[in-house]
Amino acid sequence: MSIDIRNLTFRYNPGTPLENTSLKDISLSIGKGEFILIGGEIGSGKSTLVRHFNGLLKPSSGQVTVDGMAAHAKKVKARVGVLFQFPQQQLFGRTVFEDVAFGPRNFGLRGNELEEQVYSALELLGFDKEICSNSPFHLSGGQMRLVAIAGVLASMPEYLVLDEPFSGLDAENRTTLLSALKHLTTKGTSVIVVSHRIPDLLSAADRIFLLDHGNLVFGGTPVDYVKHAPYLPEITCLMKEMRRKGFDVRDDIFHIDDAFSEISRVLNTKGAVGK
Amino acid sequence: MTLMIEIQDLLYSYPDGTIALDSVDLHIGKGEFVVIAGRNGSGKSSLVRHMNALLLPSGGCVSVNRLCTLQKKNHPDIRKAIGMVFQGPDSQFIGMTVEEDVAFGPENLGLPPLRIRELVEISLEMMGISELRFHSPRSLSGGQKQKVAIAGVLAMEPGCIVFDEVTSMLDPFSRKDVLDAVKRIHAKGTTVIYVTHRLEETINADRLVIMDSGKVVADASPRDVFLQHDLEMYGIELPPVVALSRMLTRAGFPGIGIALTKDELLEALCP
Repeated sequence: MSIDIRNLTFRYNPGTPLENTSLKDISLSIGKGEFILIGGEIGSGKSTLVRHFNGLLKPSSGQVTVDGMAAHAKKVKARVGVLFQFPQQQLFGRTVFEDVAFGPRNFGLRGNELEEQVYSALELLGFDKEICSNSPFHLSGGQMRLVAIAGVLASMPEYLVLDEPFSGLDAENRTTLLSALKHLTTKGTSVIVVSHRIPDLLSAADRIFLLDHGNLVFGGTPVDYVKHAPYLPEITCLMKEMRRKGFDVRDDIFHIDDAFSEISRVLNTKGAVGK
Repeated sequence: MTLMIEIQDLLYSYPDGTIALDSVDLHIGKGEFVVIAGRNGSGKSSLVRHMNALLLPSGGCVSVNRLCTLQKKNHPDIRKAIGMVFQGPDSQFIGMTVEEDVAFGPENLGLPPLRIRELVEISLEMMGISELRFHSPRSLSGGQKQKVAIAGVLAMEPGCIVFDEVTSMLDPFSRKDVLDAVKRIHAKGTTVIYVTHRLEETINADRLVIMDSGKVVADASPRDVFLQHDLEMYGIELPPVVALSRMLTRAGFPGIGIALTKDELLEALCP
């Protein structure tokens, strides 16, 4: 069970003077329960890529399959939940409950089952039941974002694609969202996060893919990432520079706690001695 | 230092009675670089919206260059003095070309055409986007758009510019680009008020003001704020290097203190 992408090329406006190749010969696959980050600069093709996962765009050449079915097949829609940037702009319900229930209701859920699904999605994102009767438009920006995400979670997709879900969220809401997403992966849901803040999210990820001008330029684990990729986390840069200055420290580190124990170790054994 | 913005005992409540700002006192002098940080819903956007009379106090008083925002006749002068740039520039564009868009502000101030030309020229150059002048703002990247929005505010020559989370939607390179532009603007003498979640952007500010539940809970130099407050309590994440230096200091390693940048920490660790 996986999303499989084989030699995907995508051109906008093919056959016109505005033709623009946005994705070039991309192959990758995403398995069950994986936490995937997709990074790259603005215009690198990352949003175009994920729009292929549920058939919003069709490849110009190559193929995209979800659990063996073509991604634009109707059955795939319920399996792949996609949340775009600024999802709070997509809220419309009179109450939070109605908003979150919209997706699963459209996929045929009714009655108790529907209610349970809505409550558990909201609970996962740290909301009490009481919020259900509130209007979504009276929430803070961060809460609106989380309610919009609950709306996608409530449809229980097998693959959850989120485009820049963390931008503009404060540290607290980010932690809530990140642990909710981690929890989903333990239940077998694959989580695919598009972000330009890869360094901040490294410790959560199983694998990272980086795009540059439509090319897949990196695919690998967080440890591979800090060895090879551009835009390293600041902690990794610090460790690399300490190493260059003659400290015997690991430089494949991106977590503050690991950096702390590495630095404490060398400071304790050597005293503060450089080269 | 000449006082620019004076906020005294400011109270603001929404129509439904929720209190957004509670006894806020804040004085900002000409030429300062002040960062305002706090979790979502802490009141930072409500606070800065009082600075150009987009919101008016429910209690207390806000004045700009000694003009009180409660008096409607002061609004034109206040809004001339304080420019604002917001998170999403898309909703702020009106011109067909970058040049037209930047000219919109000074045109509305009723300036003579030659002066408008001059101001547009200077602002585009300041933001490093002179070559984009004939482009449509909509066709630009996020970072470029944000620079056009800033140029539009600059062209009105406000004494103070408020940047409300202007980089939160940008990738790391555009973010640095925009931040560098903000620093250039400050270096030319403009007062800068910069609202953000990301403290690593702002370690060279004069002052760091932390908001929580509608109140100012810290107001000092960034280094002192990091030293004296547990910002995690207010839902703010420390920049990684600052957090690491504080962990090392608290673990008893001498001579590190609070490092604001990677280079400072390196210097302390390997002198």
